[in-house]
Order: sequence, then C-alpha cells, then structure tokens
Amino acid sequence: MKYIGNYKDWINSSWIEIILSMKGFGAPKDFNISLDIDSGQRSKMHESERKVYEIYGTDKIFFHLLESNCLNFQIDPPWLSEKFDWWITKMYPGQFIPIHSDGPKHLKGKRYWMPLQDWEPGHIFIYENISVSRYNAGDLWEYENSLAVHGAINIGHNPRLILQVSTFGES
Amino acid sequence: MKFVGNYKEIIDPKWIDEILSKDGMFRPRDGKKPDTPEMEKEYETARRAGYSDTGTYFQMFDKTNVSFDVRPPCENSAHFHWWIIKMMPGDFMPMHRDPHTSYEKNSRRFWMSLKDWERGHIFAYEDQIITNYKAGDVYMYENAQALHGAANIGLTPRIVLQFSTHD
Repeated sequence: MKYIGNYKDWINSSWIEIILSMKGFGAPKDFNISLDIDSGQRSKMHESERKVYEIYGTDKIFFHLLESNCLNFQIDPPWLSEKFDWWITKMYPGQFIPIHSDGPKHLKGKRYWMPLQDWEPGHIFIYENISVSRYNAGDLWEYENSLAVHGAINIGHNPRLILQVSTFGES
Repeated sequence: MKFVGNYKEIIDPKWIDEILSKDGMFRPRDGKKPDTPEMEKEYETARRAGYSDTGTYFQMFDKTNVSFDVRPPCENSAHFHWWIIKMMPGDFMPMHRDPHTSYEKNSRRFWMSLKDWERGHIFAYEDQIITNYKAGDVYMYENAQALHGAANIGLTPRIVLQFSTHD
C-alpha cells in the first residue's frame, strides 16, 4: 500500500450521514449469485472469487455495498484525471469481506482506498501481509499491485466506512 | 506484543486433528454469563455495538472438552490456565479486554498459534496485527489489559492456544 496524501477537506460530511442512513446492497446475498455449473455466473467468476463463495456461501450479508447509482451524491476525486469507478463499503460490527483478489478487470488500472472516518480499534484492513491502522479520515492509499490479496473486517464497536476508487487504465 | 520464542516442540499434531474433528463450546452462546462487574462491562460494550450474547462467533476448547492437557511452554507461575480458540472462516472475536486479568495478581497473558500464519488469519492487539508467524511462536501481551480481538477472513480454520499466568 502506497500512501498518497490526505484529502479530508474534500470529504463532504453529509456523505457520512447519507451512507449510514442507506442500506445499499447486502453483499453477497442481494446479488443472487449462483454457483451452479449451468448458471452462467460461475464461468464469469475468477478463481479467487469463486473459491471465496464456495467457502463462505452466497446467501448471507457480510457487508453493505453502496455504489454510485444508489447514492444521491457523486464524487469527483481531485487526484484523478482519468475515468474511474467508485463504491463505498459499509461494515457494521461483525461484518467482513473475506480475503480475495479483485480479478483481471483491474489489471491495467489503479485501485485506491480511502477511509471516510478516523481509524478505530477493530477496523481492520489487510493487504497481503500488512495492515493499515491509526489512519485519519481522508488518507488516500493506492494498491501497489491491483491484484493484491486483500480483505477487511470490523471487530470494533462502530460502523466502518471506506471509499474505494478504481481506474481501468483507459483515458 | 512481545515475541517470547518458538515452542513448536510442545505441539502434538494430534491436538490439531482433535480440534478440527469436533465442535468446541460455541461462544458467546454457550459461555458463562457475566459474573463480575468487569465481565458485565465487556458484554455491555459488545451489546451496544450490536453483537449478540446468544450468537456463535468462535469455538473454545479447554481441558473439559479435549483429551489432552497443555503444560506451560515458557512460564513457571503459581497459576496457569489455558484455552484454545478455533475460528472457522468468517468467525471472529470482537475487540475486548480480558476481565480476569484485571483482578488476578500479576496477570500475564500469552498467545501461541498452533498453525503457521495464513492470509486472513487476524490477531489484533491494540493497533497491531500479527502476521507471518510460525506454529509455536509465543507472544506476550505487554499489557495484560490491552484491547485485543481476532478474526478469520481466510480460507482455512485458525487455531490458537491462549494461556494466562498469575501469582
């Protein structure tokens, strides 16, 4: 993980209230993922993703995903001048994302990670064999390897909100 | 966390087989109810965050539900007690402070993994995450009352021996 800088001033405080008030997609349950051989979905998954679903199942909610199309605000990252995709992960205490790799569609692009709140004990992000802690809201990190294995869990006492931004290596 | 040393030789591979082959005590569901103010405080903090007293977040083993006993790997104290935590993928233990270490005299807390570290196997001590450890590595809490927790967001079971000593 490469530290880029702090963009706290760019975060609109209303975002937090909106994110906390909206459910978003309960992942993976709300995506109705089928691992059946003939479902068609299975063949589109990359190996890391399929393995996670086989072990953890697809019918529970492990975290909440809020994408741009389900939020009433948009973002314009000041550190980017290229096309990007973004989403927010919300984890209530006890929620998690199993370790995984984002898969080949992210191969050419860049992946950014920005907490929307200051770090609290139990807010855990794992990137390969390192973790990031004691961060501040607005700290921006870039994955040195877009395909790095990563995961997260909230074993703390308050919700954990992270902005994720991804580029695709296209102008 | 202070690294104490590696004590892999005390680990009997049969321990792992036994723990993997059966269920432990489901916690916190089947654990004892809070019986001290310190324990009640920890439970109340967890409840307020949304954790359930009746859920199963991990499994616990001690000498009442396994066929073996564990001897102190590195500490000779008047009192020694141990327990083993098994976390299947998705299991976790919320951040907490061990109630018993607040009233035991000269309480010292230790942590020893029974397996080599794997991705997604998490032990959190205050703001530190311990990774890349080997089976048998023993760590001592520099502060027995430190905030800590654990999780398994990996792909294989996680098995850790916990022990505590006091005068």
